Amino acid sequence: MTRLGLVLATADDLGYVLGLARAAADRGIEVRLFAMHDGAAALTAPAVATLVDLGCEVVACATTLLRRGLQVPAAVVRGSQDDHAALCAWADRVVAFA
Amino acid sequence: MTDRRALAIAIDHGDPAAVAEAWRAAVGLTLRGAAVTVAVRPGSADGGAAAARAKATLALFGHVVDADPDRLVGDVIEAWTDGVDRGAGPPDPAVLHLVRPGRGRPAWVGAPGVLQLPAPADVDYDALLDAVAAAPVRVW
Repeated sequence: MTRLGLVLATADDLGYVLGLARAAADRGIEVRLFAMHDGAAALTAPAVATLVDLGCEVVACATTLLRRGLQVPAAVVRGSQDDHAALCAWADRVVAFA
Repeated sequence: MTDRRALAIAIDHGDPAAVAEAWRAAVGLTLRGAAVTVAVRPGSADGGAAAARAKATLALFGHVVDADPDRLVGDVIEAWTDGVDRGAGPPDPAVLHLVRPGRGRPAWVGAPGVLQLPAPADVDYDALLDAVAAAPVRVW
């Protein structure tokens, strides 16, 4: 496994995402995260900073952000479901917390 | 992308908003050419008009919208679940089942392919990564 995709759509699972991202980065595995629904709201600034420092691309669903009036750190890419699809096409393995 | 990926969405949720989001995600996952399969656990909430439109769109383009929620296969499995027991069958041993605290069923403990997750701070992520690498993952 060289590419790990993570999907976060829940409020309570950011800790698992961070743990997996750290362990993957330690092994040289590329990591990307797509956040939507409650997962987009769960993206805290410290968590995003940690993920970016690990080399993880962090994309949030812009539809979710717009609907909920959410502000996310500048390092978060405002994306779409196309990014979700792209992540699933890119990754060797996807772990989805939904 | 040279091969068509198989992506599966399991909906097992009592929140209409979450169900609607799952259907929206299912449509989104088709955008890079994947074959998408959706399974809805009986007793899940109705996702409303948006979900109905998404289901119709997926069916129109030949995606499967009425699969068995206990036998979902795919390169990627996204399970939209709230942890409420609506009568899930035994876990498919071909899939790695990551069970978050307070979820799953007592009969699953020790079953092939089932990994009970402790709280995030207590997970052995190296071991978890090894397990993730070995099989498609479904999170309960």
